[in-house]
Amino acid sequence: MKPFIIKTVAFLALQLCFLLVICRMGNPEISHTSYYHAMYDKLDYLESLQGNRLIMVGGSSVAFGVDSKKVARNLDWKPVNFGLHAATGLDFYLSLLRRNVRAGDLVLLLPEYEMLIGREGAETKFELMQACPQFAADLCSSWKSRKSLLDRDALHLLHESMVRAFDPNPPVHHGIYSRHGFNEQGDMVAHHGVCNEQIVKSSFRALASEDLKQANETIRLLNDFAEFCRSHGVKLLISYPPITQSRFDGSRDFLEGLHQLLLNQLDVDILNRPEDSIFQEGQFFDTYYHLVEEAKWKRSARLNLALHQYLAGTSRVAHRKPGLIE
Amino acid sequence: MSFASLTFFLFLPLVFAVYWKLRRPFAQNVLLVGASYFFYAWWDWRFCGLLLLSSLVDYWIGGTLAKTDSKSWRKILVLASLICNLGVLGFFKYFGFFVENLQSILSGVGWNIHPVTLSIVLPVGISFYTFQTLSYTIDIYRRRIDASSSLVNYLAFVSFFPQLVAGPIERAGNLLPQFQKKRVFDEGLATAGLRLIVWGVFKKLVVADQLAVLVDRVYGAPEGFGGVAYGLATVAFAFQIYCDFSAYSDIARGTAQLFAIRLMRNFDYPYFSTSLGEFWRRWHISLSTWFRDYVYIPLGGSRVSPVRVKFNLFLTFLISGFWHGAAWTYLCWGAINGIAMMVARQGRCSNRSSSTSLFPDFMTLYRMGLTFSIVCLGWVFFRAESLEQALGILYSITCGCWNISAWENAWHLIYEDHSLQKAVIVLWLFTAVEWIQRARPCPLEMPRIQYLPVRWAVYSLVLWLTVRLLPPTAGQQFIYFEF
Repeated sequence: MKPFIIKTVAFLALQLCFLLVICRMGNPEISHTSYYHAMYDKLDYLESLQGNRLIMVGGSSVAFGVDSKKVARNLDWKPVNFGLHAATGLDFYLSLLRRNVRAGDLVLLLPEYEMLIGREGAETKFELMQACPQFAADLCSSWKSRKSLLDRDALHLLHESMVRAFDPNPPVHHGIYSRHGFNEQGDMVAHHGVCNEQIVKSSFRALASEDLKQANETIRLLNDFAEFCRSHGVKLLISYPPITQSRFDGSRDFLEGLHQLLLNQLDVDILNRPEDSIFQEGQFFDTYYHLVEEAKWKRSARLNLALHQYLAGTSRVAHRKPGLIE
Repeated sequence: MSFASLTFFLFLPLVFAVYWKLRRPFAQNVLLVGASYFFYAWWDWRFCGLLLLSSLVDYWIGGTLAKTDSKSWRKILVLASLICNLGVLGFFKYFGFFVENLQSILSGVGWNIHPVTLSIVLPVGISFYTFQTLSYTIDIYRRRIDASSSLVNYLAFVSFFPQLVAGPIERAGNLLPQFQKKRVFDEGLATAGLRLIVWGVFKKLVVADQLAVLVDRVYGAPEGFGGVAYGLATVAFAFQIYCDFSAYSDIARGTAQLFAIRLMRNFDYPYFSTSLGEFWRRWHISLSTWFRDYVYIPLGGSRVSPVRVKFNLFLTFLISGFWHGAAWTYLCWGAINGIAMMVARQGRCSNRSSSTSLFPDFMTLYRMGLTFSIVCLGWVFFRAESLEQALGILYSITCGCWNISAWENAWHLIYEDHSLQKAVIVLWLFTAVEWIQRARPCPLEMPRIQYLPVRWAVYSLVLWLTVRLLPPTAGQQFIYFEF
């Protein structure tokens, strides 16, 4: 057996050398103005705010689709837009929130549907880890994300390293997808006034009822977080992301099923219904989650109204768990 | 735990090291049982209870069968085993299907009912280990094998992690004796095992997952891409399912060989077959032989009248289709293959094995093409979401290929998406390598190249190509986990 072990170890050592070379080549000097670096600014702003804060959490649909000040108008909370990228997964945001919320805060979760069914992107995680290594622990904060790293993402991280190593044109973060594209509250504003682009429709397929199976794990995560919020005096609400009419029509069963699932199993109050976030295709910017300026205002106004109604106890969503919002 | 994950490549060396550190077969088997249950629990720990229960029931029935000579009591015992195994399989796999169909039949006659719908999760690999335990009790009943005297050996036979989830469906006569005797490390066997693992990982992550992008895009598009694209996607699916499933079998065999255990070969380059009969002798061999021994032959096999032989063939394929899944599409797939086999038998189609020359003659190519086309006809039903979709796709392929827009759609589909171009190139290269190396059990075998650095360079190239060509969807579950 000894010769076999020696040969195998030698072969693996050789592959490890290749791997080190590739990782070295695949990690060029990182600029500090990447889109992901905006999370540092959001955290700094959050920290700097005195008093109660309204923290809106989700992927880029929150970054590109919410006007924080409009959402918080006439409310007693100071707004912060905590949206960045859906593919980092919900765990990432919940982990950051656990470290940064305080009693009296209101957390408004606005996760994308992909986030709710646990669809994450290894490429995005890789880019985020590469740009901001400090967030690596937050990306793997739960058992689910650690398992996913071992089961699936590790391979893709290796692949991304290799692609970067041999790609003569590494991605350069410029234009609107940059740290400088956000305003003080963390809203993306660089796309205001820019013509909307051709959207790749195939990447926004209708959601199927089978996808709901994946939502149970997310609900468990959210319930844990809800428990944390309750014990720390933080208020928690959830709402839905923007959706096109055609995707809504194609995903009716899924959306109805999801809403019922959240009503039945989630220990968090739901602000409104999926159909309250329908927008026309022309109101999206470059993907079917990023709203153009005008639609963003509409959405923010709707959220503001829903929050007021909710706080006044006149919300049309029947489900309301006692004790979360007094 | 999936074979195509980092988790498995951390788990495997650990089990390997401890296994060979333990010298006694009993201790090695205890380790394998523990490791196998851990492997299985990685998906969902609740599945382990069912696996253990199923194993214990058949262990007890097997032991009792071996001790009794009473014919009636033996029949009752084997019937109990059948009811238990098929009952569990039926409940977890077919309950929803029967309820849905009963509901639609009753509503057809104006009786609207709202039956109890249970959200039943299908335990991974249930169809495989159920058939394996079933063959154990039937073989004891037929007095072909002795019952296992050791529970640990038996549990190792049922739960052996390399083949637990998607086969090969091993027979007790082959696998159990290997757990009973002392195992000696065989360097040649282990090296061949590693080659199988490397090739299996390449097949799964590069070829199958790459082709899945094309197949999912075309089959998942409600607007449709036209007949040419459907034809292309069906061919791609034929190779996707082959590479996906044979990759699992290769990795399973390779992994088992590291523990000095030999599993049966499950695929033997089936798409190079020149007749349907040959195809089914080379495709999912462990299942085909299972159905031959436990369904086809007990029905009378080929020893009955020609009409009855054909009926037996048809029925066997129909059951095989139903085994794959609780849907009408799988039943149709089985029926198509059954009918094709009946026709092939009637026409006395050639049963000779494929040519071994590098450049086959025209007739060989023609037969291979014809066989492949018939197999692809079945794959349309296998892949489609519903019968309506399958029939629509077949209509598109046969009638929609004659207009220029169908060709334009297919061209745009491939031309506009780099990942699809990559999928097509990968498919051509893969088929060429398998064709050239089809005389060997693993295409990575290079007996003529003795120089180690050259062999290592080839293995390294395959590994790094796997990493480089990894599609975004790579790492999906193996298709046969659904069965």
